[in-house]
Amino acid sequence: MTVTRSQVLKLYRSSLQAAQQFETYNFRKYFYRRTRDRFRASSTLTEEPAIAQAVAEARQELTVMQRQGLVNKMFSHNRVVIESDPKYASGTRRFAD
Amino acid sequence: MLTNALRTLAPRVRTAGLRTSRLLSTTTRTRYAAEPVANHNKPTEALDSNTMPIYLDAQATTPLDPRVLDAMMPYMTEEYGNPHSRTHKYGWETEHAVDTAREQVANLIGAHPKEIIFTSGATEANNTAIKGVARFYKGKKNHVITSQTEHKCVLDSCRVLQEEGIEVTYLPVDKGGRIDLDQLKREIRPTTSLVSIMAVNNEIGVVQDIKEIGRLCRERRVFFHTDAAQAAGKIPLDVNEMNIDLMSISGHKLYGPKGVGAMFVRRRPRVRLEPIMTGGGQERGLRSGTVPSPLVVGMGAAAALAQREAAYDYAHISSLACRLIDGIQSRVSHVVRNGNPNHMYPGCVNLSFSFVEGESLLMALKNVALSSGSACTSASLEPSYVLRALGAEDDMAHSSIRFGLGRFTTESEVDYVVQNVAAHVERLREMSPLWEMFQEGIDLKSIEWSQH
Ligand SMILES: Cc1ncc(COP(=O)(O)O)c(C=O)c1O
Repeated sequence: MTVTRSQVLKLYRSSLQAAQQFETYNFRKYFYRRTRDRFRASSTLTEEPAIAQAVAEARQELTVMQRQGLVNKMFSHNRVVIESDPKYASGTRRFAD
Repeated sequence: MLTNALRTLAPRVRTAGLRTSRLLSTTTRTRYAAEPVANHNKPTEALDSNTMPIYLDAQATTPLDPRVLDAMMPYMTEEYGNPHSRTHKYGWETEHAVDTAREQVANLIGAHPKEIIFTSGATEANNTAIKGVARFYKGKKNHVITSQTEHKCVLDSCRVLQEEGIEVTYLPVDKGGRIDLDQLKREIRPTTSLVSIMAVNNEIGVVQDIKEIGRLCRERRVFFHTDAAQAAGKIPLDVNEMNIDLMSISGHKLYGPKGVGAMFVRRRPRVRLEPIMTGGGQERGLRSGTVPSPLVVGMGAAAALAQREAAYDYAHISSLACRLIDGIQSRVSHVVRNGNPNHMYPGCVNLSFSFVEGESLLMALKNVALSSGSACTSASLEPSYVLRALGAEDDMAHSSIRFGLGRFTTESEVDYVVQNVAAHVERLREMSPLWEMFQEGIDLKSIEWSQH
C-alpha cells in the first residue's frame, strides 16, 4: 500500500502535537526534536518499502507518545527553572522549538 | 474511550499527587531538621516547591525514558506472572518478555542472550563478577588486578577479597586518567585470575583502551571484567571484538529503571564463578531470586532504544558538550577539563575552576543539579580520590565540578548553565584573596603558609 504525501504530513502533525502533550519540559523538548529530525531524515527516502517501514515506525511511536503524554500529564507538577525565565522564552510551554 | 477515561481521572490523580508530595516534604523536612546531616551540596536557599533545577547529573542517574515506561506498564498491571512459573500462561507470557529483554541487552553488547544474567544493578554485577571469579579460582590463582579510579563497589569488592587472602594490585593512572598498558602487562602474573578495569569513568568520563586490555588479557589467559555502567548504550561495545569476559551494566544509567542491571558472563571460553546469591537457581544458578520482570523488560527496552538512538544521542550530547565547554572557556579564564581529551565520553564534562572552591560554586549554582564527583562521595568534603589518582593538586581537585549531559538535556539549558557558571565564578573569584594575589602576579607556590 502506498502512502500519500498528505497522509505523511498528517502523521507528522499528529506526532508533533503528541510530543507537545508532555508536561515535563525535557521530555516535551526531546520528543519534539526527535520527531522533527526523524521526519526530516525520512523525507529523503525514495524506495517504497523503506517509506512504508518509516511510516509504520512513526505510527508506532505516535501511539507510544500519546499514551505516555497522558501518563506524564497525570503525574507531573514540577517545572524546570528555565521555563519561567523570560531570557529563555523558548523554554516556555507554548513555544516548543 | 480510554483517552476520555484517563482525562476525567487526570485532575483527581494530580491533586492527590500534589497533596501527598506536600505531606511527604513536610515530614522529611522536620526529620532532617532534628538531625543535621552534612550535605554540602544542598543549596542554602531552596527553590519554590515545584520549581526544579536544571538536571546535569546524568552520571548519577538518568530519567526513565517514557518509551521505556511504556514497555514496562503491562508488566506492572496485567502481566504479573512469575517468569519461572512453568505451568500456566501467566508465567509463559512473562518468561517470553524476559527472554526478549535478554536478547535486547545481548544485542547492545554483541553477546549471546544466554550470556546475560540479570541483577539488581551494576553494584551487584560488579560484586558477583569480581568476588565470584576470584573465589572460584582461588585454589590455583590468587591475584586480581584493578585500577585506582574504579567505582567504590569495585574497590570495596577487592578490599573484601584482600581480607580473604587474595592479592590485589591497584594500577595507578596517568594525568589523563588512563592506565598504562605496559604496566598492566608487567603486573599480570601466572597466578592472576582477573583483571577488572572500567570502560568509562563516572567522575571524569575518561574512556580506557578496552580493546587493548582485552587483547592483552586474552593473550595471557586472564579473565577480563569491565564495569560498563557508564559506557553501555553510550559508546560502542562489543564483547567479542574487545575480548571482554565479564561486563557489568546498570539500568538506570541508560534511561531505564533503577534496581536492575545485567552481568555478561562469557560461555566460550567458559568463565566460572561462585554465586553470591543461592536459592532457586534462576539465571543459570549465578543469581537466584525471582527475576523482576517489569524492571527487566524496562532494562531491555532501554538497551534496544540506546542501540537504535546511539548515533543520534551521541551527536546531540557531543554538540552540547562543545557548547558548554566553549561557552564557559570563552567567558572564564583558568578553567581546565580533567581527563585525557582524546579519550573522553562527551556526556561527562569535569571542569576545574582555579581559585574557586567547588563546593561554594555548587552551592551558588542552586538552579543547576550538579555534583562535584560521584554521588557516593558528594556528602563529604574530601576531594575526589579519582582526581587525586590523576595527580591533580589538592586545590584543583577541590575546585572541580562534573557536568553530566544526557539525551534529554536541551541547548537552552546549556546556555543557561554557561551564563550562571560564568557569573558565579567571577563573583567567587572577586571575593578570593588568592585570585587577587594571582592577578598581581604573586606566585602562590612561593608563599609559605603558616602551619596549623
Ligand atoms: C562506574 C559505575 N559502576 C557502578 C555503579 C553502580 O550502579 P548501580 O547503581 O546500578 O548499582 C555506578 C553508578 O553509581 C557507576 O557509575
